[in-house]
Amino acid sequence: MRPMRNVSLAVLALALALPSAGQAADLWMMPAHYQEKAAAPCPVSAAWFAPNAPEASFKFADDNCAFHQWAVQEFLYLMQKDPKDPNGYLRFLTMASPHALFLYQGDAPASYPGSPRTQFKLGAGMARLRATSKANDAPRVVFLPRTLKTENTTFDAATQAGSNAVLVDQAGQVVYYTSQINKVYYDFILNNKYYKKEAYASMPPETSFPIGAVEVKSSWRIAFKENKYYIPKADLDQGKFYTVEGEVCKDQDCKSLVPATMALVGFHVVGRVAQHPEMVWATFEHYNNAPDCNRTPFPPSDMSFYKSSFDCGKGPFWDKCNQIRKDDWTTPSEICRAHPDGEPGTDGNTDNIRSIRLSYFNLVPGTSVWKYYSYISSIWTAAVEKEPPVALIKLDTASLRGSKKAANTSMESFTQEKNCLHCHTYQPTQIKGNCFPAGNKNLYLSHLLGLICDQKQ
Amino acid sequence: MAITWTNTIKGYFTQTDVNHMKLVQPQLDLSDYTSTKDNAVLVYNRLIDKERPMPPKSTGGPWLQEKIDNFKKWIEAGTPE
Repeated sequence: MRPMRNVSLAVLALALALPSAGQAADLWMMPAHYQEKAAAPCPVSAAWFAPNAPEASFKFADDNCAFHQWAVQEFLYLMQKDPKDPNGYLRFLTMASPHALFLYQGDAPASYPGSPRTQFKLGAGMARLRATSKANDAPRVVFLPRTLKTENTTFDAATQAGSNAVLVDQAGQVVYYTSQINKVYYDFILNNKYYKKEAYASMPPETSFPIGAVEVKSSWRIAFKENKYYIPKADLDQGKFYTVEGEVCKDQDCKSLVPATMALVGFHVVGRVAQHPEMVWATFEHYNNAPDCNRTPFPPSDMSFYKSSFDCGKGPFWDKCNQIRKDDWTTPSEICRAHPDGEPGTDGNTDNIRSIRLSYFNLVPGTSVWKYYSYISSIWTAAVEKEPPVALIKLDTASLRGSKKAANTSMESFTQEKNCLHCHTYQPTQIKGNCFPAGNKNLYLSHLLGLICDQKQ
Repeated sequence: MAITWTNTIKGYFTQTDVNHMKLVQPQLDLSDYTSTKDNAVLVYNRLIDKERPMPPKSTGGPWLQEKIDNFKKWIEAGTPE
């Protein structure tokens, strides 16, 4: 079995083509304000689009633009084809699965990236990458239905899907998500034995992830399943989505899996840069996810999560859109982007975001699938004075930097009035109830740790 | 008289409300204008949430409709200080 369909291989080849100097991207889907010139330049580098461009530096000046540049460069690095992977996957898809680190059995995990075959608690509607016939062919990547984020919802949210909302696309299909971690994150947890809950009790609260740790989360639509296209074939043939071959549950009972082509619609890059133990939380989206709320009713556009000409109501409430439908896995959600630049932001933030978006679209190769994906926004906090940090991260309003409403329409669809750091805090209650009773810890900002709570003890 | 943070909204939040929210949401300080302004729609959505009423009964219970309406008017007016 091949790792990708022909269309996906074609897309991948196009995506990795060298940029042509001065080649402008197709801007057909770009909202008008993305194309406005900003007051101050915050450019991307053409070199970041090269197939072997280096990873972003995790040490840079405390300057607003530099954070956005880090986010875009790291995104492009993670979207490179992994030269070591026999299956032809992108870098982020070959990073370790959190299920390989926080083993369901509770055992010590194998060295990075962990055993390719890991057990996990199969939840309703789960999916995974399809196995191939090649050597490293195990389905390491697991997709979960994208459920509502609440105070008690962790990464492994499928277990609560019955009582929470799921995002349903306009084709009536549930949106899936998956997450990966890099070697720095993985080795830190492994070497400190933080894959077991007991280790957290004695951990100093200020302990933080090491510089260079990266966690990513991505969201996926079903493009093709059981001889039916859920994304128009023409859009797939034209390479408008990055796709992979996966397996999804045949139905909600999940007694069997069926092959499906999965299309990337959203992406979070979360990275621990110097003097920022809170990590930088950056988000990217496919252009055709949803319109900006203040542009609704939006003309016919075949968007993933928005019915053409639907009126989302009056701002800033937009109470006709972004509403939760509990226990409904089939009715399409109506989503709009409440804060297109993640505004309000700190000084110069919106200008820098608009500038870097425009620079990106002026330099992305015209044949690249990544021209259909846009940087949305990022959030971080004021730099800590000491590295490593000596206290809990400051998360009060005055300490926030970047976009205070950084959100992704495909991943925080129903909670766009929050930012990542509303839920990703040092508080154990944000992960899972009474699972971590030992008080506040900086490490709790990564909700992947919640997988420990599901371990078979 | 136009509804502002100073003349109306600030007085709607008790010290218990402030302390509780700081405990569960470090970036939401209901005694601070900027923090409340930045999170005004989020707060409003909780005030009208019938399934998870806020404030809880143990600390006075949900606001009267008049207060909720005034809070909405404050948002619609652009959250003036």
